[in-house]
Amino acid sequence: MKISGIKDKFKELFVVEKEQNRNPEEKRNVKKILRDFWCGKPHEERRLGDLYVGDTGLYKHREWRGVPDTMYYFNMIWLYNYIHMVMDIMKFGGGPVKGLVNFAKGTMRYRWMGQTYLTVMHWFDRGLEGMRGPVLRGSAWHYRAMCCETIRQFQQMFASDKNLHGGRESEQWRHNIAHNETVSGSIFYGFHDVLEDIPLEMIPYFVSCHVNNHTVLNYIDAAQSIGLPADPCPMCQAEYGLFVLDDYPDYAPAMITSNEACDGSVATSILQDWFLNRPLFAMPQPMRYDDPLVQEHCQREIEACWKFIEEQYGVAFDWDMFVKYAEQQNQLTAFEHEKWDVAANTPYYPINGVAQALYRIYYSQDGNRPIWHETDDRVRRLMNKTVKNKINCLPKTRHRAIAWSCAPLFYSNWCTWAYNCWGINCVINMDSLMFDQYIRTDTYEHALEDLSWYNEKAPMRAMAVGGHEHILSLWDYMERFNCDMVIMYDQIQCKGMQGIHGVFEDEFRRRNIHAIWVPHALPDKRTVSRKEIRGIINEYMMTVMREEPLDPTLVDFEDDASW
Amino acid sequence: MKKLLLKLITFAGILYGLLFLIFYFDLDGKLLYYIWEPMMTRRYDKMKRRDNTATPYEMKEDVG
Repeated sequence: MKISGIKDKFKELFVVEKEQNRNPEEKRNVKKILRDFWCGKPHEERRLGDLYVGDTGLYKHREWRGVPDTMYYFNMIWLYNYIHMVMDIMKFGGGPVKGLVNFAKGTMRYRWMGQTYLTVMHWFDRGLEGMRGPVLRGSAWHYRAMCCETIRQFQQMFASDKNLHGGRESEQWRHNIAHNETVSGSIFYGFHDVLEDIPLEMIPYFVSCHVNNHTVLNYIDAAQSIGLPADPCPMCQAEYGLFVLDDYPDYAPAMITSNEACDGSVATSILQDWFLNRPLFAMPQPMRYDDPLVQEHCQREIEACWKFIEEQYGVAFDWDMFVKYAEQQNQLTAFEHEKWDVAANTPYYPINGVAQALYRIYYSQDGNRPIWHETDDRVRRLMNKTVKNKINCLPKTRHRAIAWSCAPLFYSNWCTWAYNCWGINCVINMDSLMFDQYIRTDTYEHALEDLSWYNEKAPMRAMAVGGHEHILSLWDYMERFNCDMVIMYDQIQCKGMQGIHGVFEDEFRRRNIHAIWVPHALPDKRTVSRKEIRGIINEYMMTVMREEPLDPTLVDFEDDASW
Repeated sequence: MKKLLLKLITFAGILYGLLFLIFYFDLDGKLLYYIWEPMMTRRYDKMKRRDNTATPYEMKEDVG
């Protein structure tokens, strides 16, 4: 490479273009320079879009947030998480050597591991861009918890994976239950101390889309390469694509599956049954789930699932164990309600939209784990402080939005961008509001009844395809969370939600609600790109709301090649 | 002892400074994006895999 080529590359990777038309007096204002250095630039002067390297999403340099917040990000987010990731790999892998060896093996074997999860700190960066003070801290703790739980899950898989251990069925392999990612971890509380339940697709598919959306495209294409149709939900396609590409860990002797609360996904279970070729129990969630006639049926199915586990693993369902973990889960639910109360009624909520959405769906689906309690304790302390001291955590909020329907997995951090660019604060989202169910533990009958409800309020089922009266509960939540805007996700390959599109259009007009339709194809960024999503929001904010962007550099930029 | 302590502090200081440079200039991201990911993608693309579509599909005797 010639010297000029090296210079150009250096400029492309590291040098931020100087702002044109900048007031020369400002350049000489030492007081302001020092204030910007210590406190960070005011929101309107940040020019975050200038920091990106082309369309890669990388930064020429990471954002300078002022001394306290930059040092917090460096020490307590970047460094802390890198160090704790290594510690988690060793801890959950059964010791330093074993853990690191299994991690290396898994990285070399699985695309979703080696290509995706090493880039995890950029997932933090995207979600936390522009955040300052308590909202930076609270949101980062949520990300940290998800990171820890992800490591726990893949290290558990790798430790017992036959693919990584010469086809050997270890003792741990015999004690693992594989289950669909939408079968809640709470189903397994009665076996929690003797068997390890690990969702099959949560790490190889779901979380990977958020961290690095390049990987999932391979699985979608693989599914279509064997002649399966391209028009069903791409989530289902990606989930059976994992099997077509032989990229799933073989870590358990039996599988519990479901219809993923979306009847288009039934095919996934059928294909998984074929590819896994081992005992499989199907536990689909009913479509009209609040019909009293289906409740008993659901409860019998859960009991049949427990019987299946008892037969396959030779262990008995333990009621006391179930009560212990269900009660711990109830503590998580109680704190979630506290959080909602603060988010709904005050500006002191120290969690941003993407951290709220991802953390809530992750822990409520995954079930009770110590890391969720540790995180909630930290966030409780922080939230108490912000409420007591009346700290407005997202002070540039112009609109309080509720996001409804299923979100684009490849652009879950759109709400961070929307706040930085337009002051749209996504206070709550539909996925957060699911699983809103305590499990009573006074009697077996009550517990089973509530567990059944909990299982039926799975992602997508409760409000997306669980009957129009639930989908339309949007208006109620909008009021409860004091929102003045709806971000309406339009998953264009979801046949269920497409059917009710017109009803929403009519209702938005009738109720005079500002609603922005955001089309997407769940994990597949090729159908509707992130730039197109931003374009739609930009257009609405400029033409309908007639507002000026807070940060003009974020209105139009390329990021097609980013993670 | 004092010398050793001083050396350790200097070493820790330099290490901390280097880590900050890696963080600030997103060198971890650039390394993963331009070097690690293309290398691993080539590896996964070339990897020999089982043909799972050859898995026999038979009626099960005991369906749950």
